[in-house]
Amino acid sequence: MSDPQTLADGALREILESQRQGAPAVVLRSPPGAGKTGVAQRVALQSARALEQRCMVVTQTNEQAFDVARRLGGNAEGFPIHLYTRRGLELPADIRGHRNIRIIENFADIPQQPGITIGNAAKWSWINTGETMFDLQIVDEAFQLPDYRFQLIANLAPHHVLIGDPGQIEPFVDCEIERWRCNPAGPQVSSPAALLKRHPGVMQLALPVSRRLNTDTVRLV
Amino acid sequence: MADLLAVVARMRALEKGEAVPIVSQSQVIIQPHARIVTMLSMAGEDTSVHAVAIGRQGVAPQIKVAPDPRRRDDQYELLLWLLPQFEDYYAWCRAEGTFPQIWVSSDGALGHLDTLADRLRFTEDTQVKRLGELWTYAGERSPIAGQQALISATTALRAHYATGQQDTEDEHLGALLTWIDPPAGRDILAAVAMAETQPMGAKTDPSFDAAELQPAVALFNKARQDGDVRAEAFHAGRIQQMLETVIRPIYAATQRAMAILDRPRWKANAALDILGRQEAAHFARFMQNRDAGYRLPYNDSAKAAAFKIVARERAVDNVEAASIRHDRAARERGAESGRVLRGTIVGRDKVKLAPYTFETRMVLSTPQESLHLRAGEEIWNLDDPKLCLRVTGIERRGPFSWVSGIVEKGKKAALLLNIGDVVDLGPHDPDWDASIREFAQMSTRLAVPPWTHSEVMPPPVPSTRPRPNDLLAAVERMV
Repeated sequence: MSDPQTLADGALREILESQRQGAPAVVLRSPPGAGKTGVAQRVALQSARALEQRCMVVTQTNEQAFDVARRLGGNAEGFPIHLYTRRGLELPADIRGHRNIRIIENFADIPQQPGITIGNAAKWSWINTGETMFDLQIVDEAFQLPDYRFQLIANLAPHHVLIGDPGQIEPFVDCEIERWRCNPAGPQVSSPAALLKRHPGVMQLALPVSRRLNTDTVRLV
Repeated sequence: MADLLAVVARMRALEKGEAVPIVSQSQVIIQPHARIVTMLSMAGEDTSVHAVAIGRQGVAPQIKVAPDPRRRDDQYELLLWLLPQFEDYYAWCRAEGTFPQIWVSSDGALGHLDTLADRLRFTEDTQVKRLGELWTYAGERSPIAGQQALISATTALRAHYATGQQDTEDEHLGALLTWIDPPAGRDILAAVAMAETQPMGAKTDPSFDAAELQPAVALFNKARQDGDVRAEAFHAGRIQQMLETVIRPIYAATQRAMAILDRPRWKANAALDILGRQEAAHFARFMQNRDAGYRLPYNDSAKAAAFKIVARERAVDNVEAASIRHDRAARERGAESGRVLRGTIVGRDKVKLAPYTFETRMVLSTPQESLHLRAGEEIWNLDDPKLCLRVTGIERRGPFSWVSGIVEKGKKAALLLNIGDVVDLGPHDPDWDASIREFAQMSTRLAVPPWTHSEVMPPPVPSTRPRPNDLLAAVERMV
């Protein structure tokens, strides 16, 4: 049996390779503490720097967007990262003052050249165009994103990497959903589950190592 | 905590042996022209209509029975008898600029009508299909928060009263009415048990089916098979009488529920005026779409589902906002649950930021234990819609929470408030136009359907960029 580091590196290589091969979508299952955000960070940097793509990162909340921005902003090459936020949003001081993080509030200011732009799902869904704007879309904590919200942002890029913890509770939808309850690809279902139901051929990968859970628990999750 | 209010009310009802009112304002619109529809299905044939009673408040029902609804011709005869009643009613509502309203006895009966609507609109008979389409208006609206098109009498009563039994037990209309108007001098639980012996949903009693109805239907079918017209008419008449004994009490109970909810004790509720206008607008759009030939699918496409679920979410938000603002009980529940901040003003300052530029800041304290608030959120004075506070900080100290914020709108109104005043702050007025704006945005976003929500997955497109020997090492150098 390989050591945990070798297993983790192997999984990461596979994910990076899938992007080289231009996989239309990858669902990456990751138990808590397995390094989801680290993977998102590496996939985004490979996309923007090595593949010269325009990469968008989708988070579920502003707080998650700040966290991803902090991690990506600290990249070794000083590569600028864009954070797409709503006007008037109070930003943490370290984000506001970060030398590698550029804040953008307008759709027109989203860079046209290869780069990484981070925003939450709600903000992305208000982009006023039906056109493709990016090459790659990375959805962090994708199991928290209901499929109808994913649909509203999915055509912003032709390639998707959906990263998340499948053990999380289903996305919270605050209305009656009986009409779709029996539909495994219904609008209330988590975006990776619905995508796999519609397209069973979508590549699926899993991170094998968790720094928080033991092996038995990871297998169960 | 909102559940706590419900539990206390139920305990009180149990103690008193009588349902207790839980609101002072009306919670449902009762259209004066509303139709009461009571239908019975045949045992084992959930999408059949064995008998129907239709009428209005204060009016005796018209009753029609299909002796054996498993025969399509018998079933269609009954449905075609119903069609003009709904066609005319809907046309009248449309001409009057209002909306039709259908009352049924319980959620079970509501589900029966909804299922029938879905089934009938895919039949080949154009007239039966039309009836299904008209019923679909009510069925499609029924799960949406604040709808007033299809009302279950039990749900409407439960919004006004708490009984001393479980929610599911309240679904029996007879039992619920017994709790509301208990017979004098009798034990409430015994009276409820007696009431429960009478069917109140969409189905007849299984023992009645086995002992009486099924033999009568069998004799009717035999007479028809034998070509015995007199015997056939005789057994059809027997079936009619049997089913009338079941359907009339359900119809009468629904009428009684409406009469209880129409009593003057229920005060006006401005939130209902808003919901009524919304319902009329929905109905007008529904009829326009039917005229334009748009058909309602059985299963939603991904795109249609997205629109529908967003409409439902916005309806929940708007109904909550309207209720909290206009309905005292809803506001109290909001204060209990922490959705409404009920705070005492302990600080209010006008701060000079620059020449001629001032900012009004407020601090409120509240003993509320669970507050659904976070920094950056905007909350509005529920008694003065001009005043809006942007929350900048929330701090718990001892038994109190301190909420500080900046007055974003209504600075003059804020200055009229005094230290020590208690104010209720909560969500903005309902914004029904927000749904229209959101739908327009969704139409733009979904003009090109993403492949992820279509049939075909595109093939991989490998990168032509030079490939490093070790992908991982190359990426790690960038991190």
